[in-house]
Amino acid sequence: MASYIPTQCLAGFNTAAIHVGSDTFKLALGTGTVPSTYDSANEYYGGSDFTEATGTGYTAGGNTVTLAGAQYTTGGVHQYATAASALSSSWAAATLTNVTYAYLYDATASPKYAICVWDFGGAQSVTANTFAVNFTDTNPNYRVWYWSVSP
Amino acid sequence: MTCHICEGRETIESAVRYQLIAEQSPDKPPPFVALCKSHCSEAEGAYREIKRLQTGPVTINLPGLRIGGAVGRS
Repeated sequence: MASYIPTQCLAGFNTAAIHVGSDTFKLALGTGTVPSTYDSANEYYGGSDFTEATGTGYTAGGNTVTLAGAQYTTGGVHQYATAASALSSSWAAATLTNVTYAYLYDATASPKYAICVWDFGGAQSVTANTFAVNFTDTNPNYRVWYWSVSP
Repeated sequence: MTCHICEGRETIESAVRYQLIAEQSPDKPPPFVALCKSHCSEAEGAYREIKRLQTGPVTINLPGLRIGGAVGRS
């Protein structure tokens, strides 16, 4: 399985239910099999597609991530990109087992559309230490998701 | 880290620090061992849990995902 954009959130964009800049977005950690349905009606936080991780140092719902959207052009590719305000989101002094993916969702919208699902490529565990994820894209920095066109 | 009883033949699913009660002595610090999940219950009575061991931090890199990529993939 690979990281992906759940199809259901496109309805959220199409109906202006997802508001970058005013809604609260959260990053949650998932455990077990990474979802792969793409067009399920359950692609939202709390939906049956996702099994949220539990453990010391992790609060249900995940971490809030501040996002902003802007046009960005590089190498002849025009995009509208949504980026995080910081490189990292982390859980300190965490004890978590079998964390296999992360998913970012709109905590304000109804349903709470999942917008990005990142497959870790394997189970990750931590005991009494920091579990961190980094938004490593550089075009623009901390890019989370984007649309792009190439003339 | 390997299990004190099976010496690593079993996976330590829950890294837990145990104190070997039978070898406690006021003259020396108590020995600590790690036990795999399957041997925790077997050792009950001889060991007691001291603390969960700390593992190294985990850092995962998340790439930006393109909406409209092939089958929604980045």
